[in-house]
Amino acid sequence: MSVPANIIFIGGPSSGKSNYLFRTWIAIERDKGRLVKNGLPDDLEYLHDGASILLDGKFAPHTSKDTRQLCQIPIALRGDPGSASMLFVPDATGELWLDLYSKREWPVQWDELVTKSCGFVLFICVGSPHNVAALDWITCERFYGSGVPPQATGVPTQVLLVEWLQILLSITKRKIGCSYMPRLSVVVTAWDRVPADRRQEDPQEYLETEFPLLAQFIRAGAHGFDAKVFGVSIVGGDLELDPEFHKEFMRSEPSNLGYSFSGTLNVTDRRGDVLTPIYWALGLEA
Amino acid sequence: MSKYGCSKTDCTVAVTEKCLLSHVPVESCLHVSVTQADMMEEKLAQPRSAFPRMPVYPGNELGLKQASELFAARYGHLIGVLGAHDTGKTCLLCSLYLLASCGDLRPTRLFAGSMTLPGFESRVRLLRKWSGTGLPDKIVDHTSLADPRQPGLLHLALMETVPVSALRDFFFTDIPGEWTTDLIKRADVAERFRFLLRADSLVIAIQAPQLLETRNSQIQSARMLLQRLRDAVGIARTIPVILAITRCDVTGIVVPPAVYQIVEFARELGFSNVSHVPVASFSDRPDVPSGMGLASLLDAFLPVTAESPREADDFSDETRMFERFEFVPEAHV
Repeated sequence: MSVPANIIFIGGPSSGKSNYLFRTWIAIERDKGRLVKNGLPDDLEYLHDGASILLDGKFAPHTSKDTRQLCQIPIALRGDPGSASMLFVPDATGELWLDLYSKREWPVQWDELVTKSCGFVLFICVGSPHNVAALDWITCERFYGSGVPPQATGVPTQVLLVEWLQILLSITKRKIGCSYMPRLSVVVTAWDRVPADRRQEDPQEYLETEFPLLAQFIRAGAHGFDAKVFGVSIVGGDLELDPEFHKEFMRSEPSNLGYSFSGTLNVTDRRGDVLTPIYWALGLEA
Repeated sequence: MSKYGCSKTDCTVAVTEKCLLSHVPVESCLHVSVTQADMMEEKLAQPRSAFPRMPVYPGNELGLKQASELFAARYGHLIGVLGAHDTGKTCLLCSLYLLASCGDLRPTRLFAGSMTLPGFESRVRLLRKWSGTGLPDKIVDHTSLADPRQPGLLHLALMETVPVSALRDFFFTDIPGEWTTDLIKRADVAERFRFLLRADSLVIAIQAPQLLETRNSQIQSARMLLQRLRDAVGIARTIPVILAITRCDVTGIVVPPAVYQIVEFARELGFSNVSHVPVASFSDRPDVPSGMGLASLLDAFLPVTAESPREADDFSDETRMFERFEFVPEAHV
């Protein structure tokens, strides 16, 4: 079989898109999952540089505003040489996604990737300083009373996330048709930063409390995607804030670290393979 | 040959570069595609550093044609929200959005989407106000994010979870209060309200404090408005008419007795489904929660009574849209 092969990563600044991309490359390169490499990409510079930073025990820095990468990774399904294909993954600064909301502009290059072989992965990073909280009642009551609009806050992250999905669906309908239901993985990244007493939760439950608009949107099921929610930790710990874990990481084989899962504690599918959101987005998992 | 193509069989955009559904720019139409060859040409024409982009739907508010397209896809409940200036129409919609946004309609209702999400968000932040002058005298399609606030529709999809799972698409009118006061004064203004012949419910916002302070004139205005809606606009008398009594936090949730006179008059006019709901969109009082009454308002939009003939199944694909009501209004009078 041939592997469907376009993946569009959705997310704002510092939502974990690039780090997940580099970790994906490490997993594919080391043949750790169901997707394995089928030779090396012709242009490996971006992936190699990013993966090297991660392998050296650091998270990749914020993607430059000028970065417009279309990574092409030759892949195949494990044990199925006839499935050889190319995985196309664009990577760009999260500001591009902010522009999609505020300027209503969509990259033409990405438009070409929206085909029946395209899956989407939406990134939400636990504890990101770029996350903007939703307006709450107290704030609204205060400024409706005074008539003074709030100045300091941007558009709430949950509003951006929902709007991006709605725009992507409108693009998919335009390009493929209304009856097509693309695959969507909603990935809560940096799951290791979730407070310890909540780490056994279903990631959907986490969204219900932290991003209720998005959680309802997913749960209501009228969005037009075939969606599944995952929790992901690309290396299984916090390289920046946990010095002990950093030491352990540097002593370990990095491709063995990290996990992805979906569901509740009882049916948790927590495995060392961080690529399960990719499998879902590509339709490789039912 | 232009760079455009369209999945609609009657559309000539490929030749004329004009969208059948009047979208401007044509790329904003869901049915239009731009051919790849031309995309590549455009890309090459750009400076090397440029990253060409194409527009997506504006998202601020919907015009009638844009709403019609959504109605064609699935049934939408059109809710006419009327009321004079400063009666709390926008606050009411913002409060409803905030209830959905914060998850406060759970567990019986879930936010299921909105084609005007940026529009709600900018209104909640008081960033999208009426310009005050030069407003269109009818609802027009909205094509650009840069458009100023214009009369239009706000969309909110809610998934009801009980008694059975049911998706409800609400389209709320967002029109200036001056339209309502103009309708009271002049019958010829009724033409701009003709789209309301397609309405599933009407909400008339009246401020509770004003009903206490200027009772007689408020009753008079409400009577005139109801009569105009029946006689000049031709609103079907079977649809729910709900008096939203706003700022009830100020009056301590006391419903002014004048409300009952207005309800009685509406019934005398023949409106068979009239009710009132006390509302506090954003409360100043700790004992009155913000958003009070909004869930009841939603309930009132969807009465489950034998008298209500306006259920989704009653409309064919054709009649779900606006065009029929624009051209054959008497069919539902």
